[in-house]
Amino acid sequence: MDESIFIKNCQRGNLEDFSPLYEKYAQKIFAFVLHKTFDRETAEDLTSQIFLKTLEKIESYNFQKSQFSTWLYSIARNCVIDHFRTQHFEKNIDDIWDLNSGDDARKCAEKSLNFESLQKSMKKLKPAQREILTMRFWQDLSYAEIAEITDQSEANVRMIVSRSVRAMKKDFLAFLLFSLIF
Amino acid sequence: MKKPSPQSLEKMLDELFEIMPELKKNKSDWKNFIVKFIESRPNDKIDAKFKRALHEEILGKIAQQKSAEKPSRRKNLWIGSLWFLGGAAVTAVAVVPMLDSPEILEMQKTETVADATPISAKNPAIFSGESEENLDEVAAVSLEKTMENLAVVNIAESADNAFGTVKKTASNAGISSDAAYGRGGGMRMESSIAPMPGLGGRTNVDYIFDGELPDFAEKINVFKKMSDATVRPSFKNQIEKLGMGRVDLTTFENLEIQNVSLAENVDELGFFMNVDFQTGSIDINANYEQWHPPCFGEACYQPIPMSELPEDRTIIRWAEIFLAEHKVSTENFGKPIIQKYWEHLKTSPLPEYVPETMRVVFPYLIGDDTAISQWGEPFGMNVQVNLKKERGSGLYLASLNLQSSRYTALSNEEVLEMAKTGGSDGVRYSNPQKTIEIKLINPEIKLTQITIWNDTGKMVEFFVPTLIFKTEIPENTQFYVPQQIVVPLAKDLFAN
Repeated sequence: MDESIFIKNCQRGNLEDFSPLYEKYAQKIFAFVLHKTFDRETAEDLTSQIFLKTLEKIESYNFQKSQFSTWLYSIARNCVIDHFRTQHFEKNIDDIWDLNSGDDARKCAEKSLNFESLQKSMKKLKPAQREILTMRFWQDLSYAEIAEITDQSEANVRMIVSRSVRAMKKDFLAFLLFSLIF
Repeated sequence: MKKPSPQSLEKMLDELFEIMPELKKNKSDWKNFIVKFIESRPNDKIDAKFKRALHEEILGKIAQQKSAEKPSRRKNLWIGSLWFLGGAAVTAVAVVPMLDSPEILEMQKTETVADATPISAKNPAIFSGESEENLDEVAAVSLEKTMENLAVVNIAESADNAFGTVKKTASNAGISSDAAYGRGGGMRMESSIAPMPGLGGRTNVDYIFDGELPDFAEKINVFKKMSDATVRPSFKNQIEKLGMGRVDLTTFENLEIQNVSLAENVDELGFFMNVDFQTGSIDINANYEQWHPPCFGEACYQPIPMSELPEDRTIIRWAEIFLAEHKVSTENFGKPIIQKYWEHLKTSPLPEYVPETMRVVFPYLIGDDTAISQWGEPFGMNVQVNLKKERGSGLYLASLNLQSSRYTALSNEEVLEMAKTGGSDGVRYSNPQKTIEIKLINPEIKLTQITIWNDTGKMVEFFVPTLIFKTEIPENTQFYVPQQIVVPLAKDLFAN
């Protein structure tokens, strides 16, 4: 069934129809948050906040302005940003990729070889580039969706992705090859 | 980590090459790169337990919001309004004087049911198979819309003293198992009845209260349950189909669907339900075989220790979630109460284990008061909660169609006099050998269900404001003393 029916029912006060929306997006939002925080407990806390906030604000969602998914992702993104601000996190959200060994990111990634290689390459990129890459390749969001969530043009998003991929490729594949040989 | 699908991969590559065509010459490298990038994705699968817990939290929040949004009116003045499962039209008529004949009321309701039309043509009929073109012929609307219009407790106002004085019969003694012990029936004991256990001979008990009584109005509302007051939905156009092509049911006159039994066709944790249009009740029960699959051996028997009994608020939340999931409104109900049999029986020591299923009662709100049964227990909508499955496992909900009438309340002196002799459940010897005194304490006014048989042998149910006194049971007492004395406050309502 079209999700717009559930959304409209929620807006009419039948909030029980929030359940199918939750079922549809719970995994995606959790993954989105985890990719930004690399900490499961934090990701779970933030996911809870995000859905409870969405439930509160669903009346204000405007079908004309955006897709529901991008609206939800925007709420998620803002929650993560607020989390780092309110936690007075010494390293901000953009520095997650600089975490040292033994950190949650590595644990979260199950010490995957690929992740270590990726981490080195991603560190060289700007925060906006890293965010967009993970949204495209890990969350499989379209350029249009990413543009809406990050409040920029689609053309700009495409350009960022292309340049980032080119910048990363050399380091990423070289390290991978090195690791495979030795 | 999962590899990307070929289609997804191709799309990503095409997007890249669209922006930077020069990259296309090294397509295999870029393909490899994207695959590795995607494979490096961390394990981001949401924990199933967390997901479920969050869902429950969300449903709990929804249930809370619905409770908080309860409209300010609590008393539903049923002035000729209709309640039925399949229809939505609410017809307001002038205040109806008390009618002796429920049949007249029934006729009025039935006529109006047939005139009801669906709220929305897009709402499905209760019986599937109807095309949208036929919806206008069917007096049915979507269940959701029906529930919005449905009041569980309906009250019709009547003139003062409308129920007259109801004479109780001696057969009332058999109603409650406590009747012989002064907790039901209001019977006078004669020599043919066994004496109160342990008192030794013909002993009367005087219940004495020397404190201050709570205030109550000079005129109080008494509610009488209307019999057979539920409107049947009109399914005239569906009756023919029910014959399954084997019997032409239209050859019978004035057929009505009285109840419907339903079963969930699911693989696990399913439900059976019965909808009774005569009593306006819905009874939902867990499919026992699915909830308790066959299991053999001692390992299967794992009772829940008392120490692991979840907190009250947790049990109540599971009940509320169940209601929210099935769109059951808690309007017309008071604060939920968990029934713990060991508290009622005052068992000592506490039992070692608790039952797997516990009942949460949402007591009816009648006017501004919650109702209790004549045995002092909350009376209303029952939700079963399975403690092992941590969810609701059943529901019983019945409508309550009442007529209200004002009666003069007893004076304080009359209350104390009635309390002295044991209240409405008083058991007295006319020629006692001795009389002892028991102290009464903590009087409270509660709206109490009182069920009696009248002098025509018909069961009549009332909800009456009553003063309930607790008894102060002497230590080491060797005889049975009722835990409470009940005094209905309506003067001239009951006569022995």
